[in-house]
Amino acid sequence: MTDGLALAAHGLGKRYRATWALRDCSFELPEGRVAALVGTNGAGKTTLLTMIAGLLQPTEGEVRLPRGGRVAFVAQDKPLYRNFTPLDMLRVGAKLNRQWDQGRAIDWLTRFDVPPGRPCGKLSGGQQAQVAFAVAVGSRPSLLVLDEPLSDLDPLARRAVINELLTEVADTGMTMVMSTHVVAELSGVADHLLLLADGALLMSGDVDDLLAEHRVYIGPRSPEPPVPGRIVQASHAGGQSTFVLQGDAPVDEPWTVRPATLEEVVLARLSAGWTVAA
Amino acid sequence: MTWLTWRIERVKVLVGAALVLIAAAVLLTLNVNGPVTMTGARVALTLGPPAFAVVVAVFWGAPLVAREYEQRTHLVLWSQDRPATRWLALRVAHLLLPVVVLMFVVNVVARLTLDRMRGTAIQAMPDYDLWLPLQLATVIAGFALGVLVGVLTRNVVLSMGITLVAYAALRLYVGVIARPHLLPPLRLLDKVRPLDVMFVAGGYLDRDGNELAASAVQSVCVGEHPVIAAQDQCLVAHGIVRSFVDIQPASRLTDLRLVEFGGYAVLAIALLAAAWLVLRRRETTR
Repeated sequence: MTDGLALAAHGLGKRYRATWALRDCSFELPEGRVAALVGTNGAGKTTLLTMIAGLLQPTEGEVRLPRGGRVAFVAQDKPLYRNFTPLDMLRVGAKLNRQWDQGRAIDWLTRFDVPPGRPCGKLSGGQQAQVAFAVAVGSRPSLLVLDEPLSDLDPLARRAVINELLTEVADTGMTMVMSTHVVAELSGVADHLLLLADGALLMSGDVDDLLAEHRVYIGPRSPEPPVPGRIVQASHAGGQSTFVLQGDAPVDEPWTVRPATLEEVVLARLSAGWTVAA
Repeated sequence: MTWLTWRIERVKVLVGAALVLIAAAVLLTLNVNGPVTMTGARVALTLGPPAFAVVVAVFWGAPLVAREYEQRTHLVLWSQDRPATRWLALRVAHLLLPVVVLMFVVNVVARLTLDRMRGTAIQAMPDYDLWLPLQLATVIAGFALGVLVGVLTRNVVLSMGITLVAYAALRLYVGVIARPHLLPPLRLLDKVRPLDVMFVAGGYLDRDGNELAASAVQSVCVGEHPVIAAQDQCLVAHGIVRSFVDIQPASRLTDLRLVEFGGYAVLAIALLAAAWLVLRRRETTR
């Protein structure tokens, strides 16, 4: 596997009986990235993540990690042993991993005020999520895989968790892949985007490149955009038309142009549903 | 047993040990001279060891993997550095230790009770099932069956139910139906069934050596002719010339036990290997 990659998928596919949950998924993820896996419900996000985590055997294709690469995975429902205390859960992590950083794991619990001696079943959903994160962080992975990590958290905790995770990425040089369907949470967080729809990878790429190549044109109602370029999305409301275009041609009055936000690009691509070579 | 196995399985192990110790205390203090307590001791000796094996299969084996799936903690356990197959091998090995120790205790208690019963005038019972290697093989096979069913169903209650039915059926089939046929039986002609042998089959033979079931012949001749001499004439009239008894002599009990032990041992290994292979196919190995 090429140097500098944290993860590579080649022709990855998973079939459940007659249905393909994911098919022909190929991408590469450089080290140190924070990748967002975005897709509608049932797009195959969890299937892809559990295959990356080594918990599910692909029907076809393969997941490749660099030599010595280690994955930590936090499932969406943050499963824990209900009668174990958070300290017991950390001990599970310590027992089952070749590397373990107890200090980091304890720091995480302390940072989020998780009582270390109370059984996990008696903790709040948010605290249980923090225990799961602490185990994952303590195992010092080269690749941290999180399935909907923020779903159990309140808005304040979401921001705090994201910041802590980004700090871990910066401190340890690890790579992170997290799935979400809340695209608004991603701005300023993810620098790599994986877009899934209906079991197919629509795109994989650098977020900055993606934003640089998309523009939003707004002007008087018109069936065609004012400049040439691939139409990602067109919408018409009242006397106004809005086009999300791939391209950055300048435009004259009365049209205006501005850079697209990540949310606009993602939603446009998901609703358009066309496939691009990654 | 390591800390993790003990932390997860300790309730099962402690309850199992408590049940064995209570049963042992009751049996060892029981006065086996009276007919009622004697019957009680017989029932306990006949049903006790198999019941322990059923408890191990249903409550220890079946939930071993099924519970991890049901609580989804397999996602925690198997996403760490230790692969799922290695986890399974270690967990099974850890739990087999208390299984073997407790089965040994059950065996010793059963033998002590049997010895006390033999010391009384009342006829004792055969001790075929109380051979320790056979008991160990049967209990481990049950445990292995539970583990495999748990891996396949990923559901605690379902796996316990299937294990209970399948294991009870297996033990009944082997113990009642298959056991006398594990080795080709010895045929005695025109003899009365001896004591202290394992009965396989009995009946009559015609001139050509064809077997006739005893029940069919007796309903014709014995019922209609109360006098034994007349019965014989009736039998001859129906073409019956000899009677036979198929048995396993007492000298063969060791060989029979060895065959049965081998069967259960191979079954246990095959079941555990199947569980390991299913997990390996399901999970990615790196």
